[in-house]
Amino acid sequence: MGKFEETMQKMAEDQRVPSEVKAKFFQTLQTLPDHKTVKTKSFNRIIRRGSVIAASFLLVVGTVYAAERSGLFEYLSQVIGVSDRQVEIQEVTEVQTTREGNNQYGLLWNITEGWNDGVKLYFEAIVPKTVAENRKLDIALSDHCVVNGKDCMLNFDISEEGKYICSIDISELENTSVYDVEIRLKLLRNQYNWDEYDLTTDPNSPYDYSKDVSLEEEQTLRFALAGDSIARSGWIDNTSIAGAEVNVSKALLSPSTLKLKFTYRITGDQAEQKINEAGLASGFFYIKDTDGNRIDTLRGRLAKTVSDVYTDENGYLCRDYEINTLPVIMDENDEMQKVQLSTETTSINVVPFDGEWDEEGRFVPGTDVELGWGGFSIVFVRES
Amino acid sequence: MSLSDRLLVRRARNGDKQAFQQLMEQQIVSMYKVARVILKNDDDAADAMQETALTCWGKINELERDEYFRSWMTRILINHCNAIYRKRTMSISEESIPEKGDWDQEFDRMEWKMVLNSLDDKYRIVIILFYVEGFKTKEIADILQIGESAVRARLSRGREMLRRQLGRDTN
Repeated sequence: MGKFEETMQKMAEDQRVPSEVKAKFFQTLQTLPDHKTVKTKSFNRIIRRGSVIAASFLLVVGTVYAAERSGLFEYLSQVIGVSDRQVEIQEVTEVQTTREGNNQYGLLWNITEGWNDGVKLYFEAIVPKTVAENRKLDIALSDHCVVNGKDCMLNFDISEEGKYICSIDISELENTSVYDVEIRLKLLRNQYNWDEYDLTTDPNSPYDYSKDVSLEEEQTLRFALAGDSIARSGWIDNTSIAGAEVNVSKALLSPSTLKLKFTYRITGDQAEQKINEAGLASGFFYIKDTDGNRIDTLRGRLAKTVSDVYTDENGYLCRDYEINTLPVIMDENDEMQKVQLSTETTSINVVPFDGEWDEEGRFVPGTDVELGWGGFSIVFVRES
Repeated sequence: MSLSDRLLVRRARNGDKQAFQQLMEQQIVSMYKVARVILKNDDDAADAMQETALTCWGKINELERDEYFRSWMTRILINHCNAIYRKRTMSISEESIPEKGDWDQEFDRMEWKMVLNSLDDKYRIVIILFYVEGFKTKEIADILQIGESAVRARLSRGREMLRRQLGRDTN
């Protein structure tokens, strides 16, 4: 090795950073300001239809294998916190496809692994290298798909270049051990300048990438995911709730998701005041399990919907709620806390809370207090 | 970039501060080397690293692809280094800045630092990004916003200058 290479190697191997530099850097990291802006990527793009239609039909075969072999399991364990005891990964070996367009790149998604936890179907999809490494090609998909003939919400995350981890909400479907999934993919060819686009950090002059996108190919993938549900359904335990009635229409607890749908019904002189209390109007609830774990809907990683007040046929003032959350909470500084509802819990308590808001409408941490009425319990059983 | 790093970037982009902290802690050695080579003293390097952490946190949700995090962060770091360097050269001479830390106390490390310091800035940055940080010429071109051919030319010329400086190499 020459002196030059030796010198470069010495520098590359040197891992030391002076303590003063380290201290200043770590202090900066510990005192980062809060920011809550989350960028979402839109896949609604203008496309042209392809002309050639081809179809191929293959059998769908699935087998179960050990979770520790699985890239999907690695994702599930890191992002959702599932254990290998909870996960039976299904290997998806064959997929049925219908193709429209140029058909140059083969199957756009190789579906390799799947898992049914009873509320969501997860699967891993791998893009062929010829597509993944071609920066002029993009795969676009809708946030809807069809499962057992019904429309379902589809979410995805990209675990690494060319690898998608998808989840489909099946909580509104009838429980079964096999789910037939149909997903439509579009392969788009772009002419925009990736380098300019990727490195643009000025929000005032974003790169307009939509003008040069055209449809290369469309594919409809059909495959089956098998596996018995390990979600548990629940029902309301105590119906004698002071000051209110609650109807629970859905309660599902799985390793990935806690899903609740319920309606508050209030009558009497103070009904209007109670149904409009800030905590109830905003849908702030503590959710506590029998092991003492507690998450809340203010800081959880969740989707939450709260309806407007309406009057039912019996004259009750009502609000509908739907909570769909990972059973993990964020703390008051938006930092992840590994507080998680036990998926083995026999019941949960759902308790509305209230608190104080600052001048900019942000909840003031530490001011939360239970309403003192309106809490209810849900007991869970294992799915048969 | 490993799967776990990709997930850290993804979480950081979604506002997970702890993930961002973990991600940046992994970059500290790399950041220090780049900043130190450009600025030649620890105080300024620490300032540049601090500013870079804040800028990256503020703008990480504008990063479109997880795998570009490192080159994106390095570009921001170099921009901060250049700003500090310009400000400093207007107000203080380089020789008057005290050296700090244990970096300078070992001869072999002093040797490569002095050797690199003998190069003009434009060669020094390209050399460290290529040989020490392992970036490809295309990535360096993106980071520095210059052509790839210019990167290759600077690498070649910088390498020859260093070899001459080091004396014993013949090619």
